[in-house]
Amino acid sequence: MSVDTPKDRDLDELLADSAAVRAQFRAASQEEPPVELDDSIRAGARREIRARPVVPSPGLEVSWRIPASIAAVVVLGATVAVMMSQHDTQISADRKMPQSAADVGTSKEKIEPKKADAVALKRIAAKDEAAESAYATPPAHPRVVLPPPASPESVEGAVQKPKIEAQLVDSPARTESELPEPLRAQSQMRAEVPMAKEVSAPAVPASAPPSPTASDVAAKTTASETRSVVAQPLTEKRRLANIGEGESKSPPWEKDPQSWLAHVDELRVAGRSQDALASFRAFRDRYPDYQLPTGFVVPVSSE
Amino acid sequence: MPLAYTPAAMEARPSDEELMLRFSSGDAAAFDVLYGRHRGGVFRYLLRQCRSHAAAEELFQDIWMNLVQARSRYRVEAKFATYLYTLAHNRLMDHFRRGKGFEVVSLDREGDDGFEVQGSAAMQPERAAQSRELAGRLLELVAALPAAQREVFLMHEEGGLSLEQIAAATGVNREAVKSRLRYALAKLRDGMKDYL
Repeated sequence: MSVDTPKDRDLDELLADSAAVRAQFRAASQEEPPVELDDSIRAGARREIRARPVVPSPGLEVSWRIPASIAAVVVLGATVAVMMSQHDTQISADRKMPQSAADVGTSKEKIEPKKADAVALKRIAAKDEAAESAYATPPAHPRVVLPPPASPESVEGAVQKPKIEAQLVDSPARTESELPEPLRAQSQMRAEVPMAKEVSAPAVPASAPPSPTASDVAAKTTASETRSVVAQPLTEKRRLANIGEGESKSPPWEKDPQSWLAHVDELRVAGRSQDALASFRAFRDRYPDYQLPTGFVVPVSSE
Repeated sequence: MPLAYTPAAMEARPSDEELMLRFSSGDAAAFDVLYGRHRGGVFRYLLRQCRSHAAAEELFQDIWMNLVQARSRYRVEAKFATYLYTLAHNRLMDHFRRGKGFEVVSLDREGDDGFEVQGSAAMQPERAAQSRELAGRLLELVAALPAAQREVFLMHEEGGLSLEQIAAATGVNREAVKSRLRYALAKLRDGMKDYL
């Protein structure tokens, strides 16, 4: 028999030289296994085939199943890891937000005592607490509470109420008179205080048609206000809104009683007796014990 | 010699590997063909190595039944003959490790069950006697070879394996196989120079 490669030429020559010996060996080596053994082995093979019939070769299945399983596990693991890391980031961001908001509140409060007296702060805090308890129950059907249509003051207040608060007041059948006492007081106060600077939308004049719809109220809240309010937790929104009211929305004449009374007097002299009356009521809410200067004419309703 | 086929005949018939795959798929007839091709070579390889008919038959049956039972794990990674002789080599090594070892067999021994030199009935009695003597001498020389050289020689002559295939079946490198084969052939030629 010839050998495979050219470098085995010497072996090929040896095989050729040994051809006679190899032929002699093949002639001599003629033993065969016994026929009984042949029959036994062939029968054993058939028996095995019958006992364990065709087993499909797992080669192809294994070849794609195992890598596919590994890939699936890797992808799943990576997805879970990414989601977990994002979740952790979100949690840490949520934890930081109230702290920063509290810092804002603290800095505001550092300025606030210079502007308002202790009585007003206490009242605002009580109103906030009442509002918290009123909001604690989730509304079945959130609905905007509208003021009685006949009162222009109430209309003005309701229109200028921020959208978030209007949406959060529940109970379809509730009117302002049915609200809890602290919440009603807060609502009345906001209705009385001139809030032309509080919202970016123009204030509705006293002669505006009564009963504004909920969409009108919502439309008067700017998109930026809505976005910033929605992105924050509920209590935080309310707190920041109150801070804003106390600081940026308060008109300059409310900084001290004398200026406020001077402003009321100006309104009265200008013939805006209703505005003067509303401003004076707000003044009294803020400074109930303030002694009016002699000569100050208390505005009265023209009706 | 089982593998001495003409190229045309080899093209017409299925290969060993194809037959084994068919058998793995449940075709018992494919096994019969495959067994018929290799039964003589494997049996003589075992017989020359362990020098006992009884041991050779036992090993022979074990090897084929192992192949039958492992049919589902068969992969066409090499020639079937390499696979078969690898099984035979491993089974033989197990046999030797269990201490049964080699039996030194002599053709002169009475009641010999190791070799049965067959002669043609058409031969003249003198020529037949001479041929038997020649064959006996050659087989005696083969039996006298070192085990490693004899194994290589038998795989080459009985199994028709190439040097690479023998190397794969026995677990040694190709150059060692080549060297062993050269030594074996040289010894046989040297031992038979007076007869040929």
